Amino acid sequence: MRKVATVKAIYDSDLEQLLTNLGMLDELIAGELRCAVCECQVDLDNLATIFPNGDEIGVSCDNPRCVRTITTRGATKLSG
Amino acid sequence: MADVLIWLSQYGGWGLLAIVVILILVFYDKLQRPISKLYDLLSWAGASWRRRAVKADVQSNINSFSQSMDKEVSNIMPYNMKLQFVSGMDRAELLREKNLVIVRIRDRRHDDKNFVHAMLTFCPVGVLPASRPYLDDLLSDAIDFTVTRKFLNVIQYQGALNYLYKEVIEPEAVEKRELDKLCTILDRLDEQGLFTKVILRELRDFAVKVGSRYPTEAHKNETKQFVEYMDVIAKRQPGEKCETDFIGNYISMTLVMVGTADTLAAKGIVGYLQAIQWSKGKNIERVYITARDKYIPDAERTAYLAQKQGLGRIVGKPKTYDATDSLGQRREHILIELQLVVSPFAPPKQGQLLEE
Repeated sequence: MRKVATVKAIYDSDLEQLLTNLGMLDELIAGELRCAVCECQVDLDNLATIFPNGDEIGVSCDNPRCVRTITTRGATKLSG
Repeated sequence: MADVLIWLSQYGGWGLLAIVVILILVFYDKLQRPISKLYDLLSWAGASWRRRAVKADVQSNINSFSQSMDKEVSNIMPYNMKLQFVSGMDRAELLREKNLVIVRIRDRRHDDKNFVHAMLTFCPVGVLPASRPYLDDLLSDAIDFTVTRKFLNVIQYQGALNYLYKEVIEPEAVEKRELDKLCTILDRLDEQGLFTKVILRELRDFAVKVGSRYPTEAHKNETKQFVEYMDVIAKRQPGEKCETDFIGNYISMTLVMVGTADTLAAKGIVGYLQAIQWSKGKNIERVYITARDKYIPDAERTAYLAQKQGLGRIVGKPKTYDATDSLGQRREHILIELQLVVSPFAPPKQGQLLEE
């Protein structure tokens, strides 16, 4: 059996539920969330990653360069 | 067989069910693709089926690619990817996991983005995991882009390839010229069949040789210089002479290209055996014997005689493949890896080697 690297993900239809659990949905709707890399406004349409950023929770937009900057910090966990 | 039939008649349907369950467990990886198709058929029934379909599709494609890469050179992609959906996570749970990143997977309409983002997220851990700390950041990025491009080529996903080029590689390459250069080099090496078989193979061993030492600039420089050295060989025109040894602190190899007209005319394959012996004299650890088309039997004979005369040990099976040469022609190639036997008690005797 090969070892496994886990990539945690959120599916489109569950995104609002996750944002509610994280207490971020109101901020997002109010347009207060900014991409941690390019600082553009993040909304439900362009949100691509969610991650812990110090004591806060950060998000990034779906610009592939921003996604890549965030995911190369270590988006996968190893097991097995 | 009779025992099986007796067992089946005794346990009937339950026996068959048990066999099916065992087969599913054993061949689970291979079954993922048909399972994803099944989920696709059920996707009208609700979001949970669509989620399962995306997951099975992305996982099965990435895992079957990663296994095929690993089969070509072991341990270059040692992991399977597991996509884990985390809809129920709360704030405290997320903040506890410092290095966690949750990646959005979109509806099937956006599968081009799903495949590219999932693969680029997987690459830093999935490709050469142990060597990553010792690679230059730009080289690391270039390897991820090349592997992702290879993956999308294998699954023939043109939409995702366009997305990768236009939205990911091009903007990065415009800003970072060095990255553009490295991507071009790795692309050329891949076209010639040397990216997986030599570059990733040597970089995999680099981590083993460095051990657990703290990564330094010297490590990063050596890996980058190695890639540039390989590019000189890849760009070499027929008959052109170039340096074929790379002797670094951790990477030590040479390429013996069988089929040079003047060497063959003057010495036959003894000339190549001498080259291997000289490499051994220089304490080079590994020799890759390569040849194309009609010279392939000569390369096999060179490797066989080198092993027979105790110069080295052939590692694995010779790899034969079709690849493009520096003139853009598609040709049959062979690559044989020879691990040189370096003994401190027996210095190599130059010039005494003769073909039997």
